[in-house]
Amino acid sequence: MTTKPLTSLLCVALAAGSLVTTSAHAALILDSGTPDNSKSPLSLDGSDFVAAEFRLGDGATLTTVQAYLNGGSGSTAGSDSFSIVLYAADAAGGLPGTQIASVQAIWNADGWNGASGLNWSGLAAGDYWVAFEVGGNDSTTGLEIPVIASLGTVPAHAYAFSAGAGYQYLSGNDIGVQVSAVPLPPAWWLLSGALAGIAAMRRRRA
Amino acid sequence: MLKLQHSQFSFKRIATRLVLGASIIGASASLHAADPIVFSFATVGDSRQDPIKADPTTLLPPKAAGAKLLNQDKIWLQNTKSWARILRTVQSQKANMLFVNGDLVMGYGHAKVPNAWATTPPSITQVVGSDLVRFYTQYAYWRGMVANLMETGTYVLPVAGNHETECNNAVTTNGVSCPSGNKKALVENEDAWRANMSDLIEDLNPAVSQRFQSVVGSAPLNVVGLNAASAPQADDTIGGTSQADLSYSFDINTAGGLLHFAIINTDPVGRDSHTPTTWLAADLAAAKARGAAKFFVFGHKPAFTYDYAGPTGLPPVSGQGLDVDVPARNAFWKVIAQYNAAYFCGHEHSTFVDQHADPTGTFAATPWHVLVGGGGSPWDDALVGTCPSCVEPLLAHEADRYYAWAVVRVRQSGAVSLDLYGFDDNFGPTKVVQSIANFQ
Repeated sequence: MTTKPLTSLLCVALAAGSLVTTSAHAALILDSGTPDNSKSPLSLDGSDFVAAEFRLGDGATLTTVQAYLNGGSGSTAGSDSFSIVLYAADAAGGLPGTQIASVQAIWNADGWNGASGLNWSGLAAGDYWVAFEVGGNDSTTGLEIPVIASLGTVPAHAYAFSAGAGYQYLSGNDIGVQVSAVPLPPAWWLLSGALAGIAAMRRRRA
Repeated sequence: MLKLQHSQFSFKRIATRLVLGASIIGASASLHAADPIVFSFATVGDSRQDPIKADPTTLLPPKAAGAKLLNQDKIWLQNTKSWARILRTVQSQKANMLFVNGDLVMGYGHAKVPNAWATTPPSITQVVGSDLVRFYTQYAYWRGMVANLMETGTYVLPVAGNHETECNNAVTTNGVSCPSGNKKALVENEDAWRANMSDLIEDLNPAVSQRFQSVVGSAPLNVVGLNAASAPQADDTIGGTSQADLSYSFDINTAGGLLHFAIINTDPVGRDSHTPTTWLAADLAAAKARGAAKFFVFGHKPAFTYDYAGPTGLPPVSGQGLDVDVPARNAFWKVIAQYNAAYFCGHEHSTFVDQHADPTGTFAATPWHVLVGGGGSPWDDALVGTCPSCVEPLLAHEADRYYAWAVVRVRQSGAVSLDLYGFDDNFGPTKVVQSIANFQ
């Protein structure tokens, strides 16, 4: 008898949570713009990496990361690969610091290339970098990263490049990067609240 | 919980999606994949540093009057920072060969034991400071820097420049002045070249080409120039010293056709700033008769001086290379045009790619002239004013002050492309400065 309200509350919370979770959609949290090939592109090879910084106001799960990449004359579609690496900023607004996750991606054609269906979850609010690198397991001899001339819908906070001696800030050469994420669902907060309520009621009864 | 690394399950899922995505990409990408790269080479020149005229951007801060080179570069006279980065990137670009178009070392001395030592034993300081030891130690440092490429699939082939063969009165320590005059090639310097570089070139000899083959993946064919008899002879363009290992050539057979490579010494003893045109004409004719489809020629001095000041209002630059003797240069370029060869060079410390018609009007081709002299030597297009208030000059082209190199890629179809890569004098990101899809 006394457990009924608690059970009902829990069921409601779980149902609401489930409903909200399934209805949560990935949104662009970084959309730096589309390159226009107006300047010399940057090189992405085993010695030359680039990265873009974005800020999470709340916790989120990253689902898609892609960069605008052209093949140039050194690439083969469908077999050239590169790595997408997620870093935490080494301080607020700082350069890439601790590596959090990585995934290999294939260059398929000039334009947006990257990885979707990611489940890089549990990211707390803060500053992060997505980097595009060529590691030992990647196969490209060089891709081209065209530069953008105008800002996209969600500009990057900063850009960085590495030429073999660590990342440093990159200015005047903004690159095309898109990152999508699902925010931590409100269901988690409903569920947490319900569980807290149950615990409080049990303590009161005891 | 945060996933520290992406799970294998998710990776497989992504890989599957990407493979599916790859299967529906456009026709252009499919064509790209159907015509793979079968061979590639990189080329750049002029990595030596200068003890007197170093570009202020390469000096230790503050870049004011009296600023100095890093001690390392002061001793070895190499622009280590730029050269190391270029080599690192060429490695990652997986070029099969790297041609370095001269002025690898500061040199410019007289690589000979001074006559005075025959009667007066030298001190250690005199020995270490002699031109001969300087040549050898500078070569050794350079060789050490490029050694790693040989272990990762890029064979290094050197091209002699004027700093390797000539003597400069302002640099030599072997006496008051150079014996054949200022900035004239000396036989002892040609010997020093062979003493320090011949092992790289002699590997082309089919009898001992195992190292070349293991690095490049192909055997060198039809090699000439490894001995005095097959190298350029004393004629209208060569002064008479042995040109063995100074001018040499070979073929590489690829799925994209037979490629011919000719390396020429543009500063032989007695004929500075001249090419072995007679030898080259016979060499290219023989290669064509063998079925060579593409011809690549490497020398130090440009056939056509790049006027980096031209559009900027400064006095024009001319006569820096083979064009000090225009009739001889024209005869050389006529041969280049006859075979529609591409000519790669350095000497001018800048980067510029253009085409030039046969000055004699004999042949219709307009061959490519690829100046890649940005390996690390002081920029010809120098900073304006006195540092620290010096400023960048008005550039005629983006890459005028770039550390830059070219990569040539041969595809299975025989198509040849050229890409020019580089980074600015502030060591910014590496850029693809220029791409030529139909280079040959």
